[in-house]
Amino acid sequence: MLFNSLDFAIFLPIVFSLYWFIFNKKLKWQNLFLLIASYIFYGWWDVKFLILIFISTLTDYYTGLKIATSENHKFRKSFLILSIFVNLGMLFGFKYFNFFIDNFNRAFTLFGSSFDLNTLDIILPVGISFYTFQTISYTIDIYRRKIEPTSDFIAFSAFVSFFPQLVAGPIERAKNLLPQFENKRKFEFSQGIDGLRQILWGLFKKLVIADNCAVFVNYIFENSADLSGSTLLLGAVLFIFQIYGDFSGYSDIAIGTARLFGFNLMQNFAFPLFSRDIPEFWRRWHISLTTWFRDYLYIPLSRRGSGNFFRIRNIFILFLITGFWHGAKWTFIAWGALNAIYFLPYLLIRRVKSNKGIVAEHSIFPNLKEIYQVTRSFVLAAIGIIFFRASDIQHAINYLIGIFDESLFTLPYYRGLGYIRPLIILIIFFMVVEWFGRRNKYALELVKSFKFKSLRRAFYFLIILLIGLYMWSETNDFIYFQF
Amino acid sequence: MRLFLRKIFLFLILTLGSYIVSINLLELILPDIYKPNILYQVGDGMLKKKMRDSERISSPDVVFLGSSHAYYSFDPVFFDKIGVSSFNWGTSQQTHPQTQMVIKEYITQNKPKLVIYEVFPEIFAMSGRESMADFLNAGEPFEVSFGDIWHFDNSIALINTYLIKYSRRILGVKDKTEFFDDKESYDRGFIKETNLNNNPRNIPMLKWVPRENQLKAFEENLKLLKDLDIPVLLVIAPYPFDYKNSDDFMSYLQPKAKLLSYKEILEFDEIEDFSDFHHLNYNGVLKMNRHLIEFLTKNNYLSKS
Repeated sequence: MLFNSLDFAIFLPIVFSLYWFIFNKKLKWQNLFLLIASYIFYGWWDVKFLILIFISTLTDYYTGLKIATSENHKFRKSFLILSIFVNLGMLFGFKYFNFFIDNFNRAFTLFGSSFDLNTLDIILPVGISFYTFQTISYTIDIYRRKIEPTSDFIAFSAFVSFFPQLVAGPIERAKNLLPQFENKRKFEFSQGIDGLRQILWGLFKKLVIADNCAVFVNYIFENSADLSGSTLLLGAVLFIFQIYGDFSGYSDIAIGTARLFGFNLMQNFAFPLFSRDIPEFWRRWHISLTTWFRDYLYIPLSRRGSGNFFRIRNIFILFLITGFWHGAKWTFIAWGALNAIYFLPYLLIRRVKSNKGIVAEHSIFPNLKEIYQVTRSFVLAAIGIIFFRASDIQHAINYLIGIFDESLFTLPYYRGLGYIRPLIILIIFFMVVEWFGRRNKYALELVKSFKFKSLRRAFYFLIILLIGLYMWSETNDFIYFQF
Repeated sequence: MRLFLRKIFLFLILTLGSYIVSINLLELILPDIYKPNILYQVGDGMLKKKMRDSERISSPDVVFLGSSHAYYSFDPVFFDKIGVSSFNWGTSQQTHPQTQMVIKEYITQNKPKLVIYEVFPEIFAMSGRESMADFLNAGEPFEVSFGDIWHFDNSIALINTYLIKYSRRILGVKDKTEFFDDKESYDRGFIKETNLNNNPRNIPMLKWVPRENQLKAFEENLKLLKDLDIPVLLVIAPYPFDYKNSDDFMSYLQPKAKLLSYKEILEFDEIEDFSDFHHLNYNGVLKMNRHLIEFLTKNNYLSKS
């Protein structure tokens, strides 16, 4: 069930009403109802997917209890390994198996021998990369004695399958989310309004910005061989807005929906397009994933050695795996590698955290230095993102070569590009709201600071009107569902 | 909770009212490019004009179906010369589900001797929402219900059009589309275009990617016509660009019915024979219609029934 579908528009008010009017008496009822609603939400794609989420839930509930009840190190470790093996095994089987088989076959062909292992005819279950990571973090945190396991199976199952963040995050930590399932939720007016406001902003980002950018991006990437350098550059820039609007829009809808049910999820995007350098970009982009890899991969790796060699190695491992997490394609690995290269100078001169606060923290507009820094980060991100979007490595390289052509200094053109004018105005509006809202958790929260109630309502209405006037009419999947 | 629901309900009611007023106003003041989801004036009333004309011109021998390529390409005057009456039911961006509406409402009643069905690759790749809006605006007998719109791939554009149409009807505001009669170049559904394509464009080759629902509707249309025992001639009007997989398009169409592709049969000059980058002007129409009449006469298409 997509957030931007009619199905969800019917599903959400029904679940909301039943949750607060019928199942609000006891905590157990609330959790059981959320679990059923989440399974219906997830099963809407394919009922068979439920088997996987149930395996993951059962494994981690059981291993979590086992790890916590023992003092024996080996015993604890073996159950941790079981949890990781089951979750990563499912992820490997459904997401990466065919990639390895394909490359294995190709490698043999390169050396002149023919080897033809069969790939599996399977579809990637939606959101598997998200919920497996969420449950793995639960068992690791128990193993590290950072949290206690829950003995409430229903609460745990609802934590794993909580429908707002099930298919594309934020990847929550048990420490933040699980206690919220263990305490009865009460409806709060301000929280409900806040949730709706964030959903509205998420819908604007997805339906107006991302989906309209997608129309141009798809055309430009599919016909890149025939287009000018400036048009290709435009395609890469639009793709940044598309993926940001798409994924951060999804996160906003997820966080807003969770708030309607009395839950607070973590912030997943903190205005990354206003980052002054690449390390800052990665602290602000897909925060739940980057902090996951930081805590469960980078920090443990860092303990195994210091010095530049280890630091460089660790950064490459971190970014290559981050790239590979996004998909079983060489393009994602190349995207990860490119970002590791971007990151390296900051690591070596130890300026990874030189830009900690928000840009133009004490002023309305940025100074020239900040404009230069933000533009530089944006251009680097736009170049990197070409690998993310390209169909294969060769396509990405040709696309890059195509940009740095003398036609880069002509005006972008293809038939139909004239329709981009309203989109440019919408992107400017979007960026202005994001800029003035950058001190908040999400941009539209800035409306809370408006003095007059009528002005606040007028602004909400403007967003709704813009959605009605400019949303792309065909239903598009969220890009991150494929991960 | 009650306060929350009451406030949301009031906000929604107020928003709906303001929304209807706003889109009506924006429809009047915004240029087309800035109102992609308001399709109220799409087609400029040509469909309504055709509906009025079709009542006058009953039972023509030949009916043309298709998109703007049909109404810019097939001129009834050429058919008059051989004593055959004809009517052009081509409408702006008409996709196959809307062609089906024409077949059900018009062809079934009038039973022409021949249907010339214009087929353009791009039409198979379109959602058809513009054409659906055209039919929605036109009204009876092509009634499009809110349910049809709701199921039309979440099309907010059609919902907006629906809201504008009915709010205007309630307020008694007359449609701009009533004034299509002023066009002198119009004759029995055909539009005569005399401009030359003075700014030819280098259009990159696209891939033809048809939609399942369009293919399904197209095949259903052919079956409907077959059941009515009306012969069908598929015609590809020329266009001065190519698709990467044009062969796929041709091999899809060929087994379906007799096919004439004027992209291959005759040569057309990109400047002299076109009025823009894909529509014929009258020079092109002369060439194409002469050949078509000759083909139909030679192959006894017009005397078979």
